[in-house]
Formats: sequence, C-alpha cells, structure tokens
Amino acid sequence: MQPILTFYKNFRIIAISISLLGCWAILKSHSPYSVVFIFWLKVFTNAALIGYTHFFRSQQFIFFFNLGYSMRKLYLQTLAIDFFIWLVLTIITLNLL
Amino acid sequence: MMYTLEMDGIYLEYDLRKILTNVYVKCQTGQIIGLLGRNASGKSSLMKIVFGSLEGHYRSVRINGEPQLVPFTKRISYLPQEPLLPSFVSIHKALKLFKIDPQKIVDVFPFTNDVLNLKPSQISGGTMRILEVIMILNAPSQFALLDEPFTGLMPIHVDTLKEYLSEKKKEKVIVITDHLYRHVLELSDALYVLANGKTYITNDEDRLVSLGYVREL
Repeated sequence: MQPILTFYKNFRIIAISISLLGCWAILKSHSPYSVVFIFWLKVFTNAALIGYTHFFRSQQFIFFFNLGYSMRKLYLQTLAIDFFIWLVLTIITLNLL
Repeated sequence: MMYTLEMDGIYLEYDLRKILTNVYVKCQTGQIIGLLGRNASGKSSLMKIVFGSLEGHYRSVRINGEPQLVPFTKRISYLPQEPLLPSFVSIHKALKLFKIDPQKIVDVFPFTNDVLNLKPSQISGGTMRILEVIMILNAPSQFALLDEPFTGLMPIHVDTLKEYLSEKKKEKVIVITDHLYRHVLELSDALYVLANGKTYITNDEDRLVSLGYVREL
C-alpha cells in the first residue's frame, strides 16, 4: 500500500482539488443530480493525469517496478484510492444538502 | 541458496534495425558478470528486457531453469542509467519502501548520514548514484542489473563501491555494464561483449580490441 500512496503523490493535489471542486459544485447547485456531471469530470481529469504521468514522467516507473508493481497495478490501485476519496467526499457533501 | 539466471532467445529491433539477435548470458550467485559494448549496442535494452520494463520481440529469461513469464516479481532488481528515484520521494522514504535499514548504507559510506532525509534534487549526482546502487544491491532480489553504476562517482567512492560489490556477490548475482571498463574488468568473474546484436563471452581482454570496443588495452 505504501508504494501506491507514494505513486499517488504524483497527482493527489490536482485529483483531490477536483474532488473538492465537485463537492463545492454540488453545494452550489443544491442538486444531487450534479454528481453525474462531477463523476464524468473526475473520469476525464484522471485520464488526463494518468496520460500526463505515462508520457511525461515515465522514468519514475522503474522505481515502482523494482518494488514489484507493474504499471497496470499502479494505475488501477491509485485510481481506486482516488475514487474512494471522491466517493467519501461526495457522500458527505450530499448529506449536507 | 544458489540462483542461476539465463537469458537467451532475445530479439529486438527498432525501425528494422536489428539491435539484439543472438544473446546468451548465464550467471549464478557468487558471480559478477560484466557486460561491455559500444554505444547503442543494446546493453541497456538487454537489461531492460531481462528486467521486464522493455518488451523484446522475443524473450527468454530463466531463473534456475524456470521461465520468467511475469515481470516485476522482485526477483530481479534493476538500476537504470537514468536516475532511479522519482524527484518527490525522499531517500528516507525510498529506503523504507525497499525495506532497507539506513544504517547499512551509512556503514559503507558514512558521509551519507547527512543526506538521508533529503530529496533527490537536494543531493549531488554522485552521492545520489551511490545511494541508488546500494538500494538496488540491498533490495530483496536475487539478481541485480546495474546500468552504469560508476557514473559520476569520484575514484575513492568507486573503490569503496567495488569492495561492496565484491561482498554482495556472495548473496546475489550482479550484472554490470559501464563504460569505465577497467573497473568492470577488475570486478567481473565472467565478461560478455555485446557486438552486432550478439553476445561474445570474452576470456581474453585482447578480444575487446578485436570487437572494436577499445583501441588498445
């Protein structure tokens, strides 16, 4: 788990900022249906972040390969963590409506 | 425990240019294998293919006779020519991830005690290289592939590192490629030269001249 959290450092600031932005948008719109839009925003921004990491910061992968993590394992587990954070933040926000 | 690593049947080409065609390297615990070759002869590519970070057109890597079909199982560790550590990972954190006791590094290179809490960007290239080499040598793997481990190191540190490598070969197979070939020659128990996509086991140093790697010894 530690290597995954370390890899997540690559884009956690942007990813969590977008999740928080989504929470703010839900509160502002007073509509739970905006979650659908926020969800797709997360999907596209995460794809962009992974694309950027994959093509412009690929040298760092050797470090994680040495720790026994393949590229697929890194991406899937990191996305799962980010999705979990987004889900928790969104549920908390929806309860505030 | 004794481990044997064999690599053969490796084929790699870029834009129809054949890089690796006929490779055979065999090594076992207790050995340091030197791998020499001219620039662009495919040394780094060979290491990457064996490690798994580069897909060759064909690849056969066996450990104790068993084909290694899945890469990154922590059995083989690899030091790339380029910096190993991501810029955002501190040395201390990296050592923790590799499960290495920092004292192991400080015992060999006492001056590193002052830099263990820093990030790679705050450390000189030579010091960083030492830390990376020791990290790979202490990783819980049975094989270490080192691509240019002596780059940027001052002579006194090269000597200390050579002593350390000689010590570590008792527990893991070490494959080294470096253009500081005299150090490689001194350390190696077996030497391979990569030329024209093929590996040539070289017992006679004069062969380095005939294979076009050095002008004279």
